[in-house]
Amino acid sequence: MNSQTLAKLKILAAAAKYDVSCSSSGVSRKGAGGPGNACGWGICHSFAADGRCISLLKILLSNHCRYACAYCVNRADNDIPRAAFDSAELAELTLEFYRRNYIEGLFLSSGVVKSPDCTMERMLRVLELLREKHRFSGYIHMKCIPGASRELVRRAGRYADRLSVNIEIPSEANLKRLAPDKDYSGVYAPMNFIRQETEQRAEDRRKYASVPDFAPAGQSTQVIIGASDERDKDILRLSSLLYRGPRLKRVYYSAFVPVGGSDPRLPALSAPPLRRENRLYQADWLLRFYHFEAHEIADAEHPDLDLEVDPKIAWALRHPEFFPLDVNRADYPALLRVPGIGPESARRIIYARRCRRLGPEHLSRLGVLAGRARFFIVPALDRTPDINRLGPGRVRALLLAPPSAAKASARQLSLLRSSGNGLSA
Amino acid sequence: MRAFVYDRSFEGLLSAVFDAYALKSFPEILCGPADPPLPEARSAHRVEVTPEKPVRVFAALAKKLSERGLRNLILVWLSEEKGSDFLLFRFIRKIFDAGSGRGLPERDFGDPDVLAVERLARRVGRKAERYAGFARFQKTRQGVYVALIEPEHNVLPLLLRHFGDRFGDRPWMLYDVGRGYGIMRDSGNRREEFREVFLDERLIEGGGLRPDLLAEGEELLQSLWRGYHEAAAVRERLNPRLQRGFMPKKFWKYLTEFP
Ligand code: SF4
Repeated sequence: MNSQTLAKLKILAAAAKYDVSCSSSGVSRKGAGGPGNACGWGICHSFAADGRCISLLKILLSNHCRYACAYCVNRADNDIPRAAFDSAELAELTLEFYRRNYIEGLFLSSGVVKSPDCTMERMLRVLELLREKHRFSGYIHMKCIPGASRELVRRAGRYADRLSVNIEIPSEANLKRLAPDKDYSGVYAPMNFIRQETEQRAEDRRKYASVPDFAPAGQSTQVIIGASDERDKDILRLSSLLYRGPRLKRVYYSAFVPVGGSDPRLPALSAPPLRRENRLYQADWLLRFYHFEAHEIADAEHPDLDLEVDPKIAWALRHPEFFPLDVNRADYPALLRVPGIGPESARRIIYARRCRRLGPEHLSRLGVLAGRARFFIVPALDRTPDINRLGPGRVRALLLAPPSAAKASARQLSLLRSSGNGLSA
Repeated sequence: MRAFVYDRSFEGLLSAVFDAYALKSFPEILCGPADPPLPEARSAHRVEVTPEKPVRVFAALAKKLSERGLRNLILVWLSEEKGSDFLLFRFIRKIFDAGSGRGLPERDFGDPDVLAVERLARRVGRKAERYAGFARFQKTRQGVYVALIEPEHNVLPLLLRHFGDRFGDRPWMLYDVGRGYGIMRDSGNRREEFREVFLDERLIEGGGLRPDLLAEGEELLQSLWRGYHEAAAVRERLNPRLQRGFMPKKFWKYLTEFP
């Protein structure tokens, strides 16, 4: 390592930064003699100036690329500085960063250097050095190059904790248009192959004592938001299929950042659609942890997520008939549907009510966000009328009111109650 | 008002519980030996710590609490928050006195003390997780990896296993600057063998060790990390407020990436 390393590092880190996956979670193992362990909970080691978690050394082995995907900084026809790491150098850098606790491990990706297979070979050399030579047992996430051969994907799964194949563009037609060198099958074939391998190992493990791991933290993918015209309902449907079919652990959403040049195939955005990206992540949580189905969150009638309120509130506003929910009786999945109640407060409610009946005084202490939940539950909080009495429109306005206005509206509500105009009857 | 005076150790607290049940008299306040005498305390009982008392109380608790409940006790103790000792005392008493109802007494979250223990324990656990990510090790000339931290709660003991696994056979040290103690694992020892260490303040400069104590090449490594950290941010998404929300300024002093 020398002064040139810094220059390369900066180029290749900047080239990798649009790949959003930061998670180092999903696998738990003890260090086996060599340096390192991987924790079941993802550890954030730092936060970049854009507020995103830094957990892994996220880097390209090379940002030379022969492909020309319109949405990518590294496309062949983009005039940017190029660099490539030597595999031993990158392995060493990973180790040194890891020992100082800067990172949890490595997230390795690359531009397509000669062919997908040739690129994968080079990446695998880094992984081999880390695992075989240095006995590194920290976390490794490796991106598989679309179109890579099965044998190489299989080898990658031996060394990596997580594999990913990025979809990038949610629909096949748009992918063809924006990434003429890629096709859907080049993305889905390795994805399905990873799933088969994982299942095969699970099967073998039932029969034989020791079966080597295959990507024990599963696989993930990324889709770019706003570079093409798919609606949120299409994207969420795709995600839910990916969670079910190839059993992806995570789908990441990345707001499209215009990356230089003016390509007529791309929309002219003044800023990356960050709000939309955030709503998609919230919707994704609903799919993974809140027992929601994709069509409940967005459908033909509501093809895009509501940017003003989070998708759970949006669902609740569309379904007043589900409320008010009795927190002393409702089951866990039902509690999770209440705005202002999350997995932690729902669990606490269930434990606590086994010991005593819960009144309004308990709820906010248990972690329920009273400002949101009050329209949707009994016992009523602050004697707030529920959504059926107020009507979804009014509840929406109250939820959107800024905090100072919310106080005023609380006063208004108490007026409504005392004036006896039927609302609280 | 009845006060118990104890030595402010965890064993002392458990001994206080032991005494209370033996005497059938429960304190309304807990004091340390150095606290000024309380005028309103009518009587004070001095808790004597024996090897046996804490062991018996802990064994009794182990029968009543889940593993998680036991861990919560430790986490609340390590919070070193004012009044957390008396909170634990009340919590333990509730656990011992609880009848056999349908729910677990340690999860009777309608009870303010039970809930307070749960919440404080979670807070301390989360803080410890943060330091698992934010501790920054520097390599010394002797080849020891040293990290300085200055945590609000006494989370250092909670991190030993994690870093022990992580470092494998390499020597390392984690040092709590505020409390003035650290734990070190020398090379050659078994992985679980730690010793307590105290550093002369003159060895510390800013958020790290004095530069002349560091290994050759350490400077370069740190500049590489700073370069990486800077390059990893997407310019179009700059959001320093979000960054500080996740990683408040008080941590920055010890973070290599912020010179
Ligand atoms: S193949 Fe990958 S690196 Fe190359 S242009 Fe396409 S997205 Fe960018």
